[in-house]
Amino acid sequence: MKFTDLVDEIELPTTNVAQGAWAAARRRMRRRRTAVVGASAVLVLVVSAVALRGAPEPAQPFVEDPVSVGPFVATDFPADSDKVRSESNLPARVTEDDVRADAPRLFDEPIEQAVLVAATVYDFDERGYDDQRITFYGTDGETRSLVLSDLGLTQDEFQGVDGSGLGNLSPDGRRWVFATTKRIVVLRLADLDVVSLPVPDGLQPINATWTGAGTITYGVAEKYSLTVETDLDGSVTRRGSPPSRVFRDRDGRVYRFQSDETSRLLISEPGGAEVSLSYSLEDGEFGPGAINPPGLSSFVDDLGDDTDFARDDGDSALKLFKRVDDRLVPTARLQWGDRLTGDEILGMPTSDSVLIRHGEDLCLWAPFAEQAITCLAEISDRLGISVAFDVVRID
Amino acid sequence: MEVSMRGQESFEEWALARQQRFVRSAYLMTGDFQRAEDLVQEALIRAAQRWGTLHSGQPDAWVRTVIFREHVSWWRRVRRETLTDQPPEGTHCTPGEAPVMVQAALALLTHKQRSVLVLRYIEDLSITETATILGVSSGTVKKQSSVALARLREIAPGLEELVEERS
Repeated sequence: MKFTDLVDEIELPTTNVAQGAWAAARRRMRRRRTAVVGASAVLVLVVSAVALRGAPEPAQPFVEDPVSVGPFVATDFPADSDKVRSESNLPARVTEDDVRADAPRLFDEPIEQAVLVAATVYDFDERGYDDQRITFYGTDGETRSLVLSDLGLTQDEFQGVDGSGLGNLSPDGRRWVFATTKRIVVLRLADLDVVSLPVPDGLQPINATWTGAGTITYGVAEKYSLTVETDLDGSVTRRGSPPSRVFRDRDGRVYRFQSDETSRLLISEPGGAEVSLSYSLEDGEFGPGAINPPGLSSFVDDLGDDTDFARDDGDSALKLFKRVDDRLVPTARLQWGDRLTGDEILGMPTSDSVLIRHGEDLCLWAPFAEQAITCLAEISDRLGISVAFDVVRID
Repeated sequence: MEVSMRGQESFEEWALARQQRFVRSAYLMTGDFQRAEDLVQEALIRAAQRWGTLHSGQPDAWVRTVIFREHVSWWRRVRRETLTDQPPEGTHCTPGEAPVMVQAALALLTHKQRSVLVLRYIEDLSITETATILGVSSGTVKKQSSVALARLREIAPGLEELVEERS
């Protein structure tokens, strides 16, 4: 008997996932058509208004008409940005050897602030905290090595995998958060203060990161859609199943995307008020993206999965949005000559720029800058990384 | 309308015939029946959206690619493995010992290892095809295959003669 025959003998419940797929597809296509018609109507109105008013004003930096957006086409990142690289605070090049090289132990020689942490993701498999090192790249240009056992973690809480062991730097690069199988650990770099945050109900936390408002959010391994948000004192501030993507800015606003049916972005103010912004996408649905912590009004969109995937290796598209009254309006579009996935969109250092990691390039897409795409660093694609966005200088 | 109806009929005929197979593959990769159904349902909806061009090509391969890439995206996003020494709950096993052993053994592998095994040995894809779907190099596929098989032999020695390492 062959392996495949054995697999066929595994009994599974009968599925009926094909039921309704056709109708669901038609609904999606209708929504998209509606969006296109709406955008066309806007264009007609704009053209009519221009014709009535005479010559248009000089071009503004932001184009608010979705039909006029972009495209900024890129199939490869340029790599001739030495000026930006030297001033970005990021190391110009990080290889696996760099990360494995001996560096002073963080717990022997602490640093104030880091711009990047990196670790060899493939080393996480089936090892323990004694073997696990994470390299911190300080803003002073020095590197430090954190051996995870220095945090007082025990082997029974080891989460032995890929990038989950890497943790995430806070936007200001002064703290680092990390999930074990049992708790959340926050390390303050300057004085090595370690705070251990409990996880409710004995759940297993995963992918702990910063909200932008100084709180921490993490997922729960046992439930795909449950997220928990906590203050640094361990009190849970929010717990629930997000409808889609959720972001939080520094002022405490929560951004939730309703991408499936309503095509709206809900912004919850700290006081409880809620603003609902509509958006329309002429060529797809919202995918993973990012929100700029201080800018509040922009995020990016990954449309690659839905519209262009049919072309096999197809293109992806990123969009940058801004808020105009009660709408979100695309202001720039990046057509990608390769597949770009959501987890390659690292974040938004400013309200009109996006940090992207693709292959070995860590680059900035700033569509309204003189050079729209600028590479800041080369980082081995075998390394997991986390970036302190506020510390990356992009001027 | 008539063309659309024919499209719907051919899509539904194709999807109904293949859904169980797709879910089986997705389940073997995820170890979670509910998640497997979600992955397949999303892939089928996308297939229906472009059925006009897809049905005359290779829709099976396309859907399989969507399923696996979505799963890869998910595991990269979540970046964790739930390693367990128990077979997944909520599924039914036949009385035969070997299928139960396969199920339990796959549950003990990491996402990466499980995906490589499912693609290479169950979907019977080449190293190049597997690498393309997983978005890694051929060398990585070879290495992961080797590691996965070694682990499989270690935790389920009875399966050794059923799975031969391929170059």
